[in-house]
Amino acid sequence: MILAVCGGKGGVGKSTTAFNLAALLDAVVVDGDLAMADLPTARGPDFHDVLAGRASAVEAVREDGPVRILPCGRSLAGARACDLGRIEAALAAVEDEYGRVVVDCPAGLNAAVGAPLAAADACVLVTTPAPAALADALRTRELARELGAGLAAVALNRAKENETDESRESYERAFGGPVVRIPDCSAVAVAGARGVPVVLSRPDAVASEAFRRLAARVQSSAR
Amino acid sequence: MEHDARTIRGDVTLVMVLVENDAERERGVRVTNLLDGAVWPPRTNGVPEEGWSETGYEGVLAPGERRGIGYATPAPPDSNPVRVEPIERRSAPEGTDPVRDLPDPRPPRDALRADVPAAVTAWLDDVERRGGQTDRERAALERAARLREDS
Repeated sequence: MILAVCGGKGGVGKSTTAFNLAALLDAVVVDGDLAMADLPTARGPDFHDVLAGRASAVEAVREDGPVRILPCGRSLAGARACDLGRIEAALAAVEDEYGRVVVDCPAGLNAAVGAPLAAADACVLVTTPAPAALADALRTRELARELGAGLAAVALNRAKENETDESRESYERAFGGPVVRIPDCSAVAVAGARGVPVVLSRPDAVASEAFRRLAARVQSSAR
Repeated sequence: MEHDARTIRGDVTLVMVLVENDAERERGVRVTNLLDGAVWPPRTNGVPEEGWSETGYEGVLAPGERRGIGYATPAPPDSNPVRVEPIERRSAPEGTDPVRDLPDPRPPRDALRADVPAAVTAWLDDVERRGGQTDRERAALERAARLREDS
């Protein structure tokens, strides 16, 4: 299964969501944000090298961290040298070897979002309740539909405590899929800064509970 | 299917093929590289043009259409660089192509530190020595000087 985690707007928590979902689903997380990668880095071949044809996707996967990861390079020259036409085959190769792949997509509606969506079986959209973020998430929803990636769930990140069931239902109607609220929680940032997903470092945190509900949604949609 | 193929050799080999569909119906054509090296297809924004693959080109020609097809390869030239054959006409792929139809997210080339190729530097030196430059040549010289300072 290939799962694309996307959402349109930057800074809504796509990387954090992808990292935690990969930990819960025992998947490889691929850092697909070619120009502005956020997930932990590592020495050795990375996704830039894979997309430039210098390394195979499987050999670039690291297994020594808390989550198996295909890291992304940080240089602009490396991002420039990527052949985006290789993304689909690279993700398929990781899926063949490891079974489950979670792709952390960049912001925007561009080829680095489209290629993972085209390769993916399903997507998780990440948004905050802010109108600008919701609008971008809905545009991404349309792109996912066009490219054949079904919506597994929407992660409504940094949801306020006063979000009612009624407001969740209106989100579900707009997106046409289940919405899981991820509450604001300081443990998420603390864990992320140490390069560990919160679901592993603080399984008792409220956000961890929410990420487990999100992962359960993804698993039930995959069946 | 008529065709004519030639090669010229500079730093790399350029293969030029002209194919003509002499039938009164649409026909598919496959051009397969026979030279001993990779196919470097024409690209837009770094993405190969439609119809190109690692082995060559496939496309559909209208009745009577002539189409020029060219690519580069690091292999040495040969008098018989390609195989051209008619193929079953395939309908164009439907829907959005995620890479070709969506914007390119990669940083622009100008955002990277530029290296001026040696041949360009030699030409600029010639222009500088000759004197009496045009406005465009002066602008190119100034830009090259700035690039040298940056790197």
